[in-house]
Amino acid sequence: MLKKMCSFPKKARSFWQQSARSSRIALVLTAIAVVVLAFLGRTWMLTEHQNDRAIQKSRIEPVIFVPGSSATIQRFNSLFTTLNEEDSGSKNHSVLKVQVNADGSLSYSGHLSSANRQPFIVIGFEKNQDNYPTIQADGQSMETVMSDLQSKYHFRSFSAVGHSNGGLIWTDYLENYYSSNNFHIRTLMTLGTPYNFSESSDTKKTTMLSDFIDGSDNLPTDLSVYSIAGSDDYTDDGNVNVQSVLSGKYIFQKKVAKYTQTTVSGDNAQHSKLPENPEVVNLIRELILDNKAGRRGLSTNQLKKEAPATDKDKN
Amino acid sequence: MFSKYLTKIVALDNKWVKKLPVETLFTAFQKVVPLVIINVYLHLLIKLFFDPSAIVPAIFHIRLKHLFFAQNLQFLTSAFDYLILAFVAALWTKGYLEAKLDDLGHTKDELLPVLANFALALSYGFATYTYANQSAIYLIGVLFLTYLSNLSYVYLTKWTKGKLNDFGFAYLFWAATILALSTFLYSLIPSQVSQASFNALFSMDFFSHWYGLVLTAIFTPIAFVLGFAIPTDLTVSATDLSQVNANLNAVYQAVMAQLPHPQNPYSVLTTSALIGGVGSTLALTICLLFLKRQKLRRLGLWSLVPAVFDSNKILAYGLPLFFRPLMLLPMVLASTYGTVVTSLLIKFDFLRPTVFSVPIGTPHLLLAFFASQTPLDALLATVLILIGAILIYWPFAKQLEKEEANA
Repeated sequence: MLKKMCSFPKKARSFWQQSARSSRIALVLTAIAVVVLAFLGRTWMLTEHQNDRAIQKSRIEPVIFVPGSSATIQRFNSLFTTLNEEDSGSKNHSVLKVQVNADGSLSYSGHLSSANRQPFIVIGFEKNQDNYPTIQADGQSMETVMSDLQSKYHFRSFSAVGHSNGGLIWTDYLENYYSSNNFHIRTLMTLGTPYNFSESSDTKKTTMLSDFIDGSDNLPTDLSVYSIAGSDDYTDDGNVNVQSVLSGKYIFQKKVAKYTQTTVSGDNAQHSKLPENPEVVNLIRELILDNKAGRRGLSTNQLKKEAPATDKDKN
Repeated sequence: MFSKYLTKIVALDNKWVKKLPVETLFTAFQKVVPLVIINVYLHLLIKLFFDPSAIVPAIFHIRLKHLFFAQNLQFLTSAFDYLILAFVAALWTKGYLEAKLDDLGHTKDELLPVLANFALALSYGFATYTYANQSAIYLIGVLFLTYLSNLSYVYLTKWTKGKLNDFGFAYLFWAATILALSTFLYSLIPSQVSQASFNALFSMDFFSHWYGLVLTAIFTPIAFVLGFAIPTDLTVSATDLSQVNANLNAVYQAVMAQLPHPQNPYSVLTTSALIGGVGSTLALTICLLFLKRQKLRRLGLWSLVPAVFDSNKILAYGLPLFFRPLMLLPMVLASTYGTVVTSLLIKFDFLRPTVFSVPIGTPHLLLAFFASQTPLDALLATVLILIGAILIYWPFAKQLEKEEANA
């Protein structure tokens, strides 16, 4: 038995030497390639799963803002100042701004601190013309930005705010590029978002609205959507027709967990001023930010009592 | 004892291979091998480089933009799968009818049945093709219909004593009936079956136990050899089975957490029973490399790289593995052996199971090493399984060599 075992390496060597040269070369080359692949792959897996684990365990849930057409990443500055004036100390929300340049590169400014669970991120686009192809292109760029942000800051859950066409970019992203394997969006709030562009009639649906309706099955089913319309003169907010904002119901109603339509009015309800409108500020605070306790501003309900022209339509 | 059983199987295999329909089918398989080689290497190229979550771009951090030609290549390669099947149907029809009608003493031009069966196989592609089901081809369905079509042609010729015109109304009506019937039958295939995705089935608790996994390990090679498509839930490394998700969540909560489903199709079958494809055929490929017959060795050389990346299509057509009793037994043995060894090692805590998802195209050979929490133990287990599988295949490979020498 022992003799047999001792002669095994000798036999194996002679078996190897007797095999064809081509087979030996192929086996050795393949084995080397497998070893290289194993080494590189394992290194990649380690980094990847540390990242995944960090994402899974992350406590931060940023609120990500997207401005509308022709607006820059500074669009929400006064909104952030208002919110941060009321939330001092550890409740202060850090602000990170990402600009998507025309060549697709990303420029970061500001910082993201994990001291507050809900830091603010603004994603702005250099290409921000008011047309559907640009919105589609920006929606596609969102995929790159979101995965870049995730790899840098390891978050999974987030809430989204889109002003004007920013809401359209979010809708395009959620329908075509969002993956529930990688992210979890809790709330989407759109401010004066023209889902049917400048069409005031429900019966005339633009290509974009039709596409959004067709793709609405891809929306995350556990999402809460709040669509805020501004009413400056009963029909529009000085720029976007209220009917166009209301068309959002064709996209979201019965497709997401909750769709709420709210119209705000008054002096600060013009399209460009919507993000600074006190009622909008309170809606963001009440519906998106967690730190409800200890806030000094009026509640939305209190505001509504003071602003009788508000109309709320909830499904 | 073993050699007695082997002799019996060889006798059965010889008897089976000499039957006219089988002999002509195997000849058809072997004729399309060059096409299969091109097809397999194209698939490999897409799987490793052009898929959005492919292993090479992932490891080297290359962000490939959606290339127009890559999409076209994927479309053409998938269409190519069906074309190969259509060629097999046509070549088989030609070989079988030539021999059968010769036996019966009729001289016929087989062009019409060849074309009809080519169209019959191709229409299967038109009926079931989607991007998602590239690998889910049910060879058995198409070949069974082709065989029935051949039989009906032979009976029609026999019944009419071969007096009818080759392209006359009767034969044209026969061809139209065959095509209409097959198209109707294809339309009855449920989409879940044509996509070979049975997530809910394999997420059942039954498949979290060794007995469920061993049964699957036995039936998978049988289904493959009979020409059934293998469920993608077992073959794809980016699986979405509920057991895998539950394990992953547990690991993310606490690194060395007690896993809810340590034994599951991903951690046992994909990792150990499918190294090199169904039946752990990487071991068979390695065996072929050490044979003396140049034809078999060349087949081994061509299939080595695809086998590392779990494609055994070249062997399936070249040896062939399909419908071959001699090859079925080692495939079942190797598959079961891998499953039992891994199940036991996991059960007795010798290794942590495969839990993480890996990029598309990751070889099953490295799956445990990449995705287990005890990578070195897992690698050792894989090597043990591979060596065992080589030992299982070796006597059968030698037998193949003998048959090749006698042919």
